[in-house]
Amino acid sequence: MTALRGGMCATAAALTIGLGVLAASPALAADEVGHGQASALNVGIAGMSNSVSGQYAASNDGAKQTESGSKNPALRVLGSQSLISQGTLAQDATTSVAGRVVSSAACAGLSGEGATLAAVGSSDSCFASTDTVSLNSGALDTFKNFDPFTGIIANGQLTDTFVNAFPAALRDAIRGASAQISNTLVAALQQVLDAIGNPSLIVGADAIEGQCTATRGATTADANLVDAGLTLDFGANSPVDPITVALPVDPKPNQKVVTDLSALTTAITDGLTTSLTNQSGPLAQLLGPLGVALGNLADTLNPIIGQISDQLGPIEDNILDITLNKQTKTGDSQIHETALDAQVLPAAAAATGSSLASIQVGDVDCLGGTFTPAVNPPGDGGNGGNGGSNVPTSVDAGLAGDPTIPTGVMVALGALFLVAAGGVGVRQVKLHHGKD
Amino acid sequence: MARKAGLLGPARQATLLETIVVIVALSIAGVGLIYPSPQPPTPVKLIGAPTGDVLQVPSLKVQAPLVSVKMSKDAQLDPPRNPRQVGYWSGSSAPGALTGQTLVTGHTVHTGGGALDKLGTVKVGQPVVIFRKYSGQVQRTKYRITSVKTYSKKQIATQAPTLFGQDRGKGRLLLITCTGWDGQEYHGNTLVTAKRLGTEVAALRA
Repeated sequence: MTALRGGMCATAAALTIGLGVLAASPALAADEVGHGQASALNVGIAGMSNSVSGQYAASNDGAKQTESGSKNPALRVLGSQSLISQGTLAQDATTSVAGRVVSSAACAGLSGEGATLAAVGSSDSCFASTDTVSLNSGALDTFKNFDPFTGIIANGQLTDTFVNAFPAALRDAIRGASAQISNTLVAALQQVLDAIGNPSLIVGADAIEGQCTATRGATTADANLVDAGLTLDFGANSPVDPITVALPVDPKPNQKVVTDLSALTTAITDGLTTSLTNQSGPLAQLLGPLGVALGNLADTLNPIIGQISDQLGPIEDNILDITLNKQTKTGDSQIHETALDAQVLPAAAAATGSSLASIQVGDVDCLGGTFTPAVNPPGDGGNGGNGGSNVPTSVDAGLAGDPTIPTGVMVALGALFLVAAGGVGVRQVKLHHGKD
Repeated sequence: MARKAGLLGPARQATLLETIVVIVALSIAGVGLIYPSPQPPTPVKLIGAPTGDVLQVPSLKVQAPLVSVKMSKDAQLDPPRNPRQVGYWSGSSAPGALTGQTLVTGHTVHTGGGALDKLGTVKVGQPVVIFRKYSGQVQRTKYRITSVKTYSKKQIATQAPTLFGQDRGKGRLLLITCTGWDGQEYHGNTLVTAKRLGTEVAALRA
């Protein structure tokens, strides 16, 4: 582990000089030129809105760096949540100035209990990793707003799609019981979903971290996931086994995690089929009196079940959207990196304005840039790259006498000296003679 | 036997000679007025705004105009001809810069009057300030002395890349003058290194 790479911190330009002739007000604006921002963990889970670990940021205006936030936010900042109970959150950022270029680096993530923060922008890892850490979202109301009956039920009534599945002679009777049948279908679905249970999203890892660097015209970003995995756990009593996805150690930028949720959709389809085609089930009890041959109910409802199954497809696509090493570049000098971005049922965003649950681990942003010095020094040799190959080897800064004093003066001074010396001599002679 | 006293007597003659000395001295002062020379680097309290770049070494009561100087083709750096001025090497970082090193040189004059006559007496920790005036603004960069060393001419020549290279320093200040006067020439240099503490900028009052 290495120490935090220090940034060049110049004193603020916006100070005043304590001279009477100088205005008291600062002369220069302190616009940000570069920054590093780091946030170890952001969570947005229903019932716990936008809880975050906080952000540590270093901003540089070319004259100085200013910092804000905490590098090691305590888990208690997450409040009463149970998302994470133990582990280490770490976030760090720094900036540096070379010439007129501000560069930045940031690093953030989470690791096991006792992990310590490593260097920012200088090593492969933010952490000296230790134990495994686990994030558990708790049961998510995943199937809220979930509706596979589009085209089958509209406004609480059966559509022609459902009605036309039955013999023509029975359709009027079925239409007459439209609301009851619709309610039965919805109830059957709810029963199936209740049995499946609401899953918890569990993220486990030795470390998950995001890093970035930026300077003028160049950026880098990367994510490290050490022994990381993601699980949708539907509970011990669910007919759906936990769905686990191993996360790659070194994901490519914006790598999507393909999650095989077929077990979930199969469970829903099977549950609905069983419930709706069961000759002693609620739908059969409703259709029997209407003259529907219950022995053929499965065949009759197959197209309907098939349509519902088709509409479960979006669950696979949308129930879990995971992006690793998520990168967004702004221009050529800024990059945003999120090591792990997990959105649960992002399709809900259309209805609710946000996904059902979101977790971002290792969220960093780096910005580099150039600045114009507060005062452009005239005569600046700009010799920053002169490593010593062309430097003075002799400094002749000594004079025997002051060349600015005119020669005549020097002569007069010499004469004066002589006269003064002579005078003293005469006086000494006189005094001496006086003693005789 | 007592000697005859002169017309004025011995004591009186001595007084006369001293009077002549005073008169001649006053005459020299008059010559100085006729042929004005730059103001000596006496301690001048900054009451008004600097009229140009200024090096200030408070512990030496030095406040010297700071001008740019160039290195000769044979890699020799000379201070401004006027010994009351100091010069920063145009190939080094500009005074107040954030990177590199600013190399400032000033004369030591054996008979006195050089801007950096007393440079070797500064102490670590003492401040140095450079003022730079621009259109409507003044920039003050503070430094703190971190080392005071003496080098022979040979050492300067051999260590020059290390001492004056611009790939280091983080904007620090180097003050250099001559030392080691043997009655005929100087045999070494005093080199003072000062860490850049920060720069303040303020607008000049209109």
